[in-house]
Amino acid sequence: MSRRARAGVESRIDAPAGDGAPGGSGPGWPPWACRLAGVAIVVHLSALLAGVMGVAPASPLERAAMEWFGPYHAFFDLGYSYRFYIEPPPTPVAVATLHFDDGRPDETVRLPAREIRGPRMRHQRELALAHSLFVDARQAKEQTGDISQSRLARSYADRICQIRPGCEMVVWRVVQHLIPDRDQVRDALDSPGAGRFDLFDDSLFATPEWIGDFPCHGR
Amino acid sequence: MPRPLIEIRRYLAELSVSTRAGWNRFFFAPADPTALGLIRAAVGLLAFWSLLVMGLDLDAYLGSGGWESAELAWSSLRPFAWSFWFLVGDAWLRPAWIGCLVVLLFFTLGIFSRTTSVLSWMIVVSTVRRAPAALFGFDQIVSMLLLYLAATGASGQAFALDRYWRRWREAKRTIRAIPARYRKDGLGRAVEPDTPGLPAATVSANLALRLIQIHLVMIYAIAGLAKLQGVSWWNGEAVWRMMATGEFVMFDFTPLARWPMALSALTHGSLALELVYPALIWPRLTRPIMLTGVACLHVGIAVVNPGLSEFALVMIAANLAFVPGLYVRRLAIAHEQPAVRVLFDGACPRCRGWMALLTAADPCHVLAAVDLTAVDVRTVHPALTEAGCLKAMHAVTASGRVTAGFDALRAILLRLPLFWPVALLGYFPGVAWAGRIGYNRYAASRPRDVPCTDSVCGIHSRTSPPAARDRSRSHAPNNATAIQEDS
Repeated sequence: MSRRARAGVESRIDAPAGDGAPGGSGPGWPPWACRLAGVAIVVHLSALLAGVMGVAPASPLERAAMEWFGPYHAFFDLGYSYRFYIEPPPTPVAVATLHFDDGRPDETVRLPAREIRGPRMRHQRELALAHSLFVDARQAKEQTGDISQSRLARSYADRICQIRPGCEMVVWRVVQHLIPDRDQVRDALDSPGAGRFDLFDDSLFATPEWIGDFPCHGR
Repeated sequence: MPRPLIEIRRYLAELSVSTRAGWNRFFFAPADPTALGLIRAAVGLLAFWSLLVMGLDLDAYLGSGGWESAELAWSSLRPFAWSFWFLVGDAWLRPAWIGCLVVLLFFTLGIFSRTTSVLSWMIVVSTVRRAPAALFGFDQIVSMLLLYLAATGASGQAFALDRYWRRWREAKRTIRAIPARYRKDGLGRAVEPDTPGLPAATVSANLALRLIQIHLVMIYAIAGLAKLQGVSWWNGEAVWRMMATGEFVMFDFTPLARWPMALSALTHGSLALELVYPALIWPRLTRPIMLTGVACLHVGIAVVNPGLSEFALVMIAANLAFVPGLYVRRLAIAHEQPAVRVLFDGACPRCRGWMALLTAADPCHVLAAVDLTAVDVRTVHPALTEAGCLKAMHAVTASGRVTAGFDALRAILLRLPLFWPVALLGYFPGVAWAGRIGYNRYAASRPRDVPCTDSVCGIHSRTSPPAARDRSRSHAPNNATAIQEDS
């Protein structure tokens, strides 16, 4: 490829997103500033790469790089793996049963709540809370062998004790909200007299997994 | 030296030179900051919205006794991680939250952009660190974008009130110097600021855009590659699984179970898009296809899971880093320029002030300011009369439509993106009626630089005091006195 042709290709690919600025061009940076910024860019991009590659499954090298850039990730809030929806999983739903010391009947708190007023983002935050509890409980079980050692479950329970006066004990459980099989849904919809398919049917909830009993007093 | 070694050495030297040149051209060539300004506005607004929504359950997320207690969140912090929320006591939570909202609003509007961009990034990172259990993809992307906007300090170079106010101040300064600049052909755009309307290309803007671009490419690449581990992305079930997740959806997608081919196509299509995006987003020819594709993908995600609407919006905003600034401006501005000719009274200080306000917000020269004291208004439009134009501001569109007074002002504001919200307010029931009355009263009371001696000028109840009148006469431009003499 001739030098001119090569230059043409390069300009088509490499041209800045804002090329052809109608307002003219400002001054460029001095060489020393470019060199300094260049070093910073290399470090930053390496840190990003370490962040996306460093989660399981990862090689020892990738894990080491992730660890090495840990402080950088922590300070600049980087190091995320961005592996969204690798396999859309069943949704963990956290359910707390509240026992009261004054004889009131038990209450149930669900995360995420079925009906949340206001912006849908509130629901998304509660979904994240439930998912975090699920992950933390799993980690507690792996690390200590006792799922009730989940610190997040204790913290969530304390929150409920605080906002529900008279609550004596909070029992946390996690239940998996399953995703129905496509053929199962199609058959259900095609059956005579079938209405809408209920995604909240009892059959779509797995057996609740007990996380722990957390008393409100005398922690 | 043996010939093969010479060849290798030459190749390595050429590689080194080309790499360095390409690197510098990629990162350090000045670029139009227009897209960056738009990204700032969008990200700022979304961060503002997110914190506003969090404010509905402020104590639950940021209070010491929140879902994740302050003690637990503090003990879970990694070395070098930080959050100012740990320093805010429960009693100060609400005031601090309001302060953060104000900062984010300033950042969105482009007020003190360099400072507010850093503060906004600190707010978002602090919030993420204080309530990590409530974190989801949206927070990661907002934090990433704010980091680049803050680090480069380039976010206020376009679409920013900072810039508008600077141009307005300059325009007002220009007005004060008008006698010296007065020409026989009237003021025209002499009322506009000296700073060029369109922002200059800068290295810092390019750096921010490039870093956002690379980060985005990395996100799509890893998201696509990671999905290859999932069976449902291979058997075409992934999109169905999202649509049938009861906790996510607001609409009933289950009838789509009868359309396995469509579901498979959506699954494979979205995966293919994420896989090819890192390569095909760079060439200009395929860039629009990729941008349209990811916009559809994110809108689709928001439709399936409305809780991810903000995530979809911030990803679309981030993709603006690949859109040339010139194209962004073309979308907002009418093609024919000037789109509106504005007839104003160059002998009226208030009118000049209004024109300074408008021209400062008109970097693309959509308006053509015409000083009616210097032209025969019938040459602008045959339906215009001098008496009518002296009573109120007139606007003549490129299609020949003439509006006057409040309606003219509304038509003008509608052409200037900065004033779109104000212009739209003018279409609310009752606002136009009140606006017309208010405008007419305001116009009837406006002073002029020249004393009124005729019935037309008589509409102005206030004349300049004698001293000022003498001063204005001594500086009086030729055309202003010409009008007096004519009358």
